[in-house]
Amino acid sequence: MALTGIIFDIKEFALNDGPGIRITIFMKGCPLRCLWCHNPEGLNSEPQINKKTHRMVGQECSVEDIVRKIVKFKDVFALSDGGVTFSGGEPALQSDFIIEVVKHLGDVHKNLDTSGYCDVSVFKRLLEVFDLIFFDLKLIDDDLHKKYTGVSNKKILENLKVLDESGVPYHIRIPLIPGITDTEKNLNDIISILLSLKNKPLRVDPLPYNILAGGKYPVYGMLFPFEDEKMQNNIELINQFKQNLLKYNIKVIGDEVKCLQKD
Amino acid sequence: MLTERLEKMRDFTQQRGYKIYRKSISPSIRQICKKQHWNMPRRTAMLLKFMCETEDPIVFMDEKISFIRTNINIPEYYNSKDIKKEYHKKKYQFFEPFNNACLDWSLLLKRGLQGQLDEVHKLCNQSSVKSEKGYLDSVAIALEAVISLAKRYEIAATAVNNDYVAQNLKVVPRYGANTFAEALQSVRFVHSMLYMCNHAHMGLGRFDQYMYQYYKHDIEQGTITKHEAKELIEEFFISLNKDTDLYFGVQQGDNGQSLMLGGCKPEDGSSAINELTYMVLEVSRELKLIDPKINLRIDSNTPEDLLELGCELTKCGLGFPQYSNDEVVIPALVEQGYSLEDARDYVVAACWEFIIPGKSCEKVNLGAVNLPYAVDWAFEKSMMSLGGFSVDKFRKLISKNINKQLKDLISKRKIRLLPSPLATAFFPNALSHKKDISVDSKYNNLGIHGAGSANAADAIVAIKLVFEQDGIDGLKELLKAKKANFEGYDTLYSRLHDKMPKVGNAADVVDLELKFLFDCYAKEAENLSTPQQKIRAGSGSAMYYILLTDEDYKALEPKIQATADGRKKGEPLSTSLAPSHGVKVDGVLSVLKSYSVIDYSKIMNGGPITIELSPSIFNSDEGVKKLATLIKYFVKLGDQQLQLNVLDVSVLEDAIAHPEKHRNLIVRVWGWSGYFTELAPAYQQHVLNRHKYNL
Repeated sequence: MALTGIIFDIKEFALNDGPGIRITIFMKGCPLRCLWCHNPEGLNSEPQINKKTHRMVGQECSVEDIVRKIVKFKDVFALSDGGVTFSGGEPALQSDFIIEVVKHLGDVHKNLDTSGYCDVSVFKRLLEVFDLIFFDLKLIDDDLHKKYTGVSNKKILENLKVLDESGVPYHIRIPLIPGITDTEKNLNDIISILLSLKNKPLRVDPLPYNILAGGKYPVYGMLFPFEDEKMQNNIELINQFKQNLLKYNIKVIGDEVKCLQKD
Repeated sequence: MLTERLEKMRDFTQQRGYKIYRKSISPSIRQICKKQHWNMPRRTAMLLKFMCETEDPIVFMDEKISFIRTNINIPEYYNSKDIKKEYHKKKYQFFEPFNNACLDWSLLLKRGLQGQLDEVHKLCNQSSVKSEKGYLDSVAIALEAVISLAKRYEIAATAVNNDYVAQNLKVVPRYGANTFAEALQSVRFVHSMLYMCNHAHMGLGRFDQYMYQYYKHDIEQGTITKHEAKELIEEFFISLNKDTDLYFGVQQGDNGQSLMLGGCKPEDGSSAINELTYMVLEVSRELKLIDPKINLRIDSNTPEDLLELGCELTKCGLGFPQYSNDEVVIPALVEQGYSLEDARDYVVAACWEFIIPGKSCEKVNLGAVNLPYAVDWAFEKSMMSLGGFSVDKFRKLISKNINKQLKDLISKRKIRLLPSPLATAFFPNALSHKKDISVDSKYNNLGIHGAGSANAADAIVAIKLVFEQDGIDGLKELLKAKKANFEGYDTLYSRLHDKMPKVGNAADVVDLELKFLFDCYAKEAENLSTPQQKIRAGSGSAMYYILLTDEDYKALEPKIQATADGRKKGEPLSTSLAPSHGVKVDGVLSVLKSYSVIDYSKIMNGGPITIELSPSIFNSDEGVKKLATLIKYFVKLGDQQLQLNVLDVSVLEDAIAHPEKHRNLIVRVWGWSGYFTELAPAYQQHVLNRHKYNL
């Protein structure tokens, strides 16, 4: 049987998913259950109904379908050194599929946006075919990681080392969840981990918490488990964190974290 | 940053503070005209004379560019009986005041009104034909009227000790301009006069071209700094926002004050971009006023920083600049018989129709072909035909109906533009022939919009697929469902509306139908063209996307009921070149790609790809840069014209009330994007409030 993948969205002209003009393919299904997840429709591997639009979310696609969809825009990628980003969900969960797709893309720039949660052998195969990796770091304390994401971070930290040693350029992305990932302890732990790396990331992207994350939950018949309207990032701590990274010559996105205020 | 003086002036203008100077003097001057047996050119000149004489010159002490209109009423100077008597009753069904043209502004700046007046006298002496002499007298009356009002303005300026304005008015508009400030004053003054003699939609042309030599002169002489030049443009733009409530248009703001930037030089096609091109974009961005409407001509070599500046202006949410692709537009004009040099000099009329300043007097918006109607009619006809439906027959009938609609427009909507002696002074060809520009234009073509193309193409593909999948019975059912406005046909409706391929997804199966449709349109337009008058087929919808769905709208264009693409009766048609309403497309890249299938060498009356963007795309540091790349992609694809609309609060509010119409509205929040209509109400409200805050 031919290889197929399940995707839940394709976004053209994705602005924050890598260099140049990009299209982002969102792969459905994720082994993590982060309480703050902003793409709940990407969690379940099976197609499901959007209760508001009554449209089916999640579509089975052949390698050919996706390749065609991406290659169609080769012209615009060439204009801007742009390309494709695989996100999710967790794209590594459908690694056979995306590796097969990526093999057919020629010199289109390929970015993988991953939680890093997969077997090392799978991850290594992915590293062979991608040009850039967006790698999430959430919590360094494994107990907390289990508590808030449902899985241990062991594989993630192991893969981070593999990534760093592979020579493939990467960004570290840190979802800053108030009181959970933006604590002094966790941010310091992250710095320690980063300092232990040989090659270092191209950039660190601390991503401020956004209250809107929960907006999609009801339409998939799900409850947002994390709804706290008063939640806000600790801006001082985050700015301190950025300062520290800069001190160690690690590039950080954005000069200053601005927290999205509720009106 | 605006200076305090200009900021005050802008506020005063936006609040329409100048209204307190207004009066209304409108005795009919028709009786006098009738008694004197004056023809329409003479009447128009006399109207301008009357309007100039009844103006009270208002000069503010601290302004640098003067003119506001005080007499707001245009008196009756003819009635339909007079016109019918003067013009062949059978030849025309409609008469319209002079509109949708652009003067040769460089000629005004070079020679001034007096220079053209001298020319008129010379021509008059050369001629022994009474009608020619009579016409030239009218031109002279119009020019003299303006000169005389300018003189009174000069006196008024002296009276309030505004020496700056007084000095400028001593020179312009009567004589050619020497300085940048004089040039601006001259254009402001004469442009206003056109509206005073009842004209509409008068363009401002290639501003960065005809102004540049005056700017350069002043800078080189050291009489002006760049900063001062910028301030003058700011003041000029503010002045263009005065009096606009008096200008005729379908809606407030629809006044035709279009201004073109960039592009190439007519003589050799080399880049025409200069410092003013940049400066105007910057000024427009700072002022955030609706006038003038900025258009930017681009090609593969347009510098990155200019595109980015254009995007910065887009970010303001004003709905401009509108981009047009020289690499597509110029060859198309040439193919339609425009000389290469003229084609390289193109501007747009009120909206998007390509015209040549100082040369074109064309009816660029005669009406619209209702494309969904052509498809619908062809579907019903082919179903009733002997031997039953076939795709081939269906296609032929679409072409036939487009032909019929075009023929109706051409034969039943014969419009004669009323003359303009003032404008003619700045259309050198017509003047040298001693004829009014309304009857002696180098280019005299008819432009016709093509409304609802996405709905039409979607409907073709829906009909074809239903036929393929369910045969003739499926089509019968579809016909019935359509007649019932899909009531009681929920399953079929959702199949048509949600599950059929739609224009805007870069899918060949439907894009090729779009191409087919426009190819038919182009072919029929070509068939109806004559060497003297081409039929210019367009892709714009203008107001027809609403009007054609409104049964109460009485016009030649056929109205459309429910359509086979799952569009219900009364729902609007797609906008110019944009996917059908309520269709969720893959994204902006696909939309640009879909529309690249059209043969723009033949579909060349303008009508932009219209894309609505959320302002949140600019939250990304690289938003402007990436948007500029998107515009490059538009050029590379060979698309023709592009309008990018950054959505505002009212659209978001409408999206809450009618989510089905706004499926493509994307809101970018932090690291992710969501479709606005998929967010829960509380969050929608939140986004809305944030946008309010942003404004």
